[in-house]
Amino acid sequence: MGAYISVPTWWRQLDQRYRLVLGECPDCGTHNFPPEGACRGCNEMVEYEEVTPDGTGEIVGHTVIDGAAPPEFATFEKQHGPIGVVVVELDEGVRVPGMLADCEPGDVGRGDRVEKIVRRIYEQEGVIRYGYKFTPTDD
Amino acid sequence: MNAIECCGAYVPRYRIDASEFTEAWGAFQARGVSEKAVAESDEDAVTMAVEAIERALATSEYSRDDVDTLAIGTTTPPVDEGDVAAQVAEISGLRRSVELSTHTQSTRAGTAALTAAVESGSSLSIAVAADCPIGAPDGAIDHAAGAGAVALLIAEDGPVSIEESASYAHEFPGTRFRQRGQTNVESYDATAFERDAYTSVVAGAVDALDHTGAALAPTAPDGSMPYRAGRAVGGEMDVYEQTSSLGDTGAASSLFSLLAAWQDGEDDVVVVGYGDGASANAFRLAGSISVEMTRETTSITYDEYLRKRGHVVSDTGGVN
Amino acid sequence: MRDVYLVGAAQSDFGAFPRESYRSLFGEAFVSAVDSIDGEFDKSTIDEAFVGTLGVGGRQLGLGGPAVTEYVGLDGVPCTRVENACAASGSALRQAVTSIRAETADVALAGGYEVMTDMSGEQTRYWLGVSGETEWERMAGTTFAGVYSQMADAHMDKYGTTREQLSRVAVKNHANGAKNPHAHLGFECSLEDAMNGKTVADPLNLYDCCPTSDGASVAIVASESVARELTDNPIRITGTGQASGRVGLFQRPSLTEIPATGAAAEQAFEDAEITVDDVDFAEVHDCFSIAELLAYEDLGFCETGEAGEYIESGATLPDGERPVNLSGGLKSKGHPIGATGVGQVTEVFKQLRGEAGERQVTGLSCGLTHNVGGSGGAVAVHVFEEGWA
Repeated sequence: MGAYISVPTWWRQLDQRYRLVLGECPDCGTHNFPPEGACRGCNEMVEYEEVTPDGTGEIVGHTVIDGAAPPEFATFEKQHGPIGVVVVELDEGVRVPGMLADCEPGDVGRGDRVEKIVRRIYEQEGVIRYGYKFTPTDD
Repeated sequence: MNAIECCGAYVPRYRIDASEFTEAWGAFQARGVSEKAVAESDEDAVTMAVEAIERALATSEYSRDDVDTLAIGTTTPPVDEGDVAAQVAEISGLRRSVELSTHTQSTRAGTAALTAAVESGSSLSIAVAADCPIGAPDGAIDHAAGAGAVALLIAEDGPVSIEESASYAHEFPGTRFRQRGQTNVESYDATAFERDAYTSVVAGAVDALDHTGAALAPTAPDGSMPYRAGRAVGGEMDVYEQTSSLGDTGAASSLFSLLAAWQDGEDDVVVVGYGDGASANAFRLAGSISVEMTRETTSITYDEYLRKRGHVVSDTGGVN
Repeated sequence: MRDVYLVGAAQSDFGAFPRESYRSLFGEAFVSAVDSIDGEFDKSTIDEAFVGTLGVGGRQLGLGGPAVTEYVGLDGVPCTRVENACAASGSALRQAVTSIRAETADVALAGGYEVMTDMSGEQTRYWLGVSGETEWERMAGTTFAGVYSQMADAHMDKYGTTREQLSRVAVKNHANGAKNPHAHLGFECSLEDAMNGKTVADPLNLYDCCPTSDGASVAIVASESVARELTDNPIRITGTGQASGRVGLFQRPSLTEIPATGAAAEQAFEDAEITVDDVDFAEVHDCFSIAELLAYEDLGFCETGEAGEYIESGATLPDGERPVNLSGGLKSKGHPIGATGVGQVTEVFKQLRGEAGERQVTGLSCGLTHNVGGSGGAVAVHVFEEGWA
């Protein structure tokens, strides 16, 4: 089994999965997601200050997956139809990858604004994993 | 702790019209329902509860850090065992010291959660009902089944005061039940017996109140039963429900009925949660709150309905 | 530092071979590589071996290097498995080159292999997401096609690159691959077919995506004194460059370039003491059509944003100013992940020695290989020239 994300790994990241909690670098002020490892702005290994964003941002990367999603999403793809996957630049200036939800994936694209909601991501070995997705917003 | 400070509601995007069922089955078996809400396959009671809570908090004077108690009511918890209230609390970012309770087992779970919130003694509680009932696709229960969530913030002060409450219980087995480990809700399907159960138990709870109200907002398994209950309590109260347009929202349906009453300008409402088995609890409320319920919707066809609700998909998700 | 010579290189057939094992494919490549050496070659002179594989198509076997070197009769050779996703064997080549330069080896083997087609569709999709960023990017719903399609969407939006320009990659590479007896999808395709393929991840369709393939490749590199014993038609590896990049697309400053390519190429050019203008032809990493267009820009074949026009101009066709992917590229030749890097090397070897058969282009003297891991987490670039130092 490759690319397996253990439950403890998922759990450790719940602040990110549920609230997109970012790390602000105390040295250079750059926001990082996830808030771990070296700061992408100054390359230093720092203790991040946690920032909970509003969860709004702009789409900078967009695609619609039709049959090419990882098998964790195989059933979801059958039920939902083609899946929109985006890279969102949050208002704090940091980029986050996510799935589109609650919209027609082809109706939005680069430049459109989205906000975070929480949905079921997938279930594995009987454990349901919830996490963030993005939906279009007027904000 | 005797006031509702604010309220939030969440209904999924998708809608299916009764005509889709008629075309698929030859008849639509849900009485009094013209259209209903359908959850996306990545939604469930947990995600809908979270959404309703967010919407409630957005209109509240209070912040999520002030919440002492969370009570959740649903007939469709995503797991049979496992603390879904803890999950909802975590996703909603509530304090670690929050007191939790999960109410399930019947469609009365929504008002049972409200009872728990009111009686908790906390200065700020959330009672949330979120549901997504499901039945065999060829049966009346599934035809009626909808999806949605309502969250109430209970505080010391607020625009709606909880004047009094009462309960009533009388066993009526087989009117609506779900066997252990099963997904589909079933019923014994003796119509007169079901109507007797519902009307007598709802009326029992209403009669047990000291004072009656102007409007009745009961659990609504379809768009017809609530009006029978209205007649059973004397016919003087205006009856409200939203099952006719949202479908059966299970544990949340009594609260959706309450929202409909408020939307229509009622400020003297008796909300009654009824659960098959059977039991009911009633609250008489004074005042009203206006709750935003409109949203962008997308109509779906019957085959999309079957896919989204998992009726026709084999479980292939999650390798190994 | 010593000069390094490429004395032999070969690949197995790339394709779907349910009757072959990863060992037998490596064996096929090894035997052919030894055959490709002009003189008498004693395999026991191999001092060091570097073998690239992503893990044998998700099987995650340990000791993936020794498992194949023992099979070809190299029991005891110092052997290291190299993992850099699809840049595995390109990275293995760099290790081999370095070992010759550092005088820890006089003869070194660099190769790779992968078996990808014998697993269920679901298993294949499952482990193919491994070299993308897993925790965030994959959980957003993407495997490779999804990430590269986001890059394509951004490139089209930002620079006006068209659907037709993307499809020209498939048309060119299939035309080349049709002349490659080792190619997985060795048949031509029309522009119309390429433009109208079934969508995989919008805007990429079936013809924008390379296949998953089984196959292996082997290169033998040597010091000058060894090379002089073996050949009069030497190919020198004049430049090696490698760089890492952010594993997840969302972690990079831009969706329309792969910074590790530019960095690796700059290193390789400096090492070889050339500029990009000296490069006559190249094998680039076209896992997806957009990847080839990005390579044109990142390697400096054309200006940023102009890759669509560049391919449209015919510059990268066999009769163009700088033919790209004469082998058929990953698109037509196939992409057994661990084997691809050295697979590219075998085409450069053949072209420079005049042994490329139907695909031969004359007048080539300097070739480049460009091998990318994931969507840009690792890139290895090598420069090859005819003649003694």
